[in-house]
Amino acid sequence: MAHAIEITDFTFRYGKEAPEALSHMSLTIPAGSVCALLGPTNGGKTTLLHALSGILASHHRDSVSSGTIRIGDQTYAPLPPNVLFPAVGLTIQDAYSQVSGLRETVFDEVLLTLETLGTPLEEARKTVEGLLLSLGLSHLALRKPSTLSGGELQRVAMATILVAQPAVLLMDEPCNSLDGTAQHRLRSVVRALKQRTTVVIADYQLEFVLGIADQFVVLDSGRIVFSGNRRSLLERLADFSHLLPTDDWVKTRAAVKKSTYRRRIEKVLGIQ
Amino acid sequence: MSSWHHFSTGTLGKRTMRMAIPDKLSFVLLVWICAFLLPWQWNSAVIGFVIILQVLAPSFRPISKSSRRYFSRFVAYALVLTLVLALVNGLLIREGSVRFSILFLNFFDAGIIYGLEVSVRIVLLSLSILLFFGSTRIQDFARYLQSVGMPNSFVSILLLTLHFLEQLPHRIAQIFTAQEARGAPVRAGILSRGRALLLVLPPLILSSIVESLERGAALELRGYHFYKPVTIDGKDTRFSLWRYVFMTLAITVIIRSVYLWLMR
Repeated sequence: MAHAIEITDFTFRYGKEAPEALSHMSLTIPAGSVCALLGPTNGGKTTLLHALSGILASHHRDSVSSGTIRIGDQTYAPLPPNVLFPAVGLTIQDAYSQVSGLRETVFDEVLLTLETLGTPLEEARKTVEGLLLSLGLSHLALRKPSTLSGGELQRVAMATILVAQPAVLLMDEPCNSLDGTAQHRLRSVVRALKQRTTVVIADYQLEFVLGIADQFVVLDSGRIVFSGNRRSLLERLADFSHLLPTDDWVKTRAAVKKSTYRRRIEKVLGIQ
Repeated sequence: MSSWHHFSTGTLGKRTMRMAIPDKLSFVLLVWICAFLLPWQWNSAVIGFVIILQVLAPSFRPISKSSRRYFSRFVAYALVLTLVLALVNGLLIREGSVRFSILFLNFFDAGIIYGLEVSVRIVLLSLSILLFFGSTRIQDFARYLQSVGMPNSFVSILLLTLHFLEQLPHRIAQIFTAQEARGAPVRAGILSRGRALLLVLPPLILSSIVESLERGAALELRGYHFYKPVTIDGKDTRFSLWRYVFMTLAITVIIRSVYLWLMR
């Protein structure tokens, strides 16, 4: 069952003297929705995902934080002390690192997650078989993870997390090194997760999330500068042209069909 | 779909005609005891036996083409190594009678024999390790280690290291190709290769450390605990004739050596 996420006045520094990586952040993500975190590098997207996954506190003992994070019916003030997996799963930026290298085949790699969770082996195997089928990865089951393409590896990386059926799935720049077809496949996977899982995607590419996200959050220097739905984001496009890459706006323009929004994007790009 | 099961958890605990990992390890132990306690003439025969095993015994056949290639290469290098060590020692250790002369160089008996003893021992020790790892899936070995109570952290580090070593030649080749593409003569000869390799290795090792940290964090995010054992199919407690044969032979070799030492 999907969990809602509620962040209230959350501030985070990596050290006492360090600048604020996340500053007075307040955000509510409804259960079962897809939220897109957008913004430039060092905007705070990855830090926020790490905070929600629970890895931030255990990896940065000297960090200073305040505020509260509520995931489902659990409230953390300010940070979850440990990794919240399997309730919350995070796929990191580098899919190559996400795949452990401890197992020889894709099947075993995905199985490792359930082994770790102590699922009985027969049950675990059946679950992995089912998941690989649903993700269209069955044909890769016996392949060595290190021999896969970027897109395949990304989906396997997702499978290693999804196999535990997390209530919240956090994805850090999932489109890294993915071509158009692979991005399309990934979008279908995320769409299929809607309602069952709360998905938070951090990305600098608006085009990837535009068609799938219900909520858009733009971050800049650790602050939320915008939070709203697709319509309101497209209406305020001109305000964020400096935060999102221009070539991406061109792609976005191509992806947007509605003429009003097209015109707004064209205005941002200076195309008359 | 059900065929995945045969690949997913290795061969541990399954009744097959192939030797189990502990049997193979007992054989390696026997070879090591022979390498240290038997005379070099006998050990030469053991080397021959190991090579034959690699060809004929299903349990010791290489698991991949590259394993087979490495084994064949090693045998070829081992012959050269033995010859060089015997000649160098024959030249430097001037004891006993002169076995043969080439131009003005005299090669002495004691030196040649000492060189043969050392090289045969080195070859036998290395060959037995190569025989084991060339014929055993590393995942099966890891599972075996976990099933006998080896700490999960140790097994994980072992697997991550092996994974890095497996990727290393590929990465070096990638870097070399990239450098060649911009005109750097990294593959122009042994010297250029060596120099380029020296330059490439330190950053590669550093990046592998960073990558290992990332992998560690990613594993932690999947609920993996380096200090907590994972579910294992079960310990292999079958009676094995092979294990008893190898262990008996090993004990026999030890008893023989002790007896010879006492009778000296």
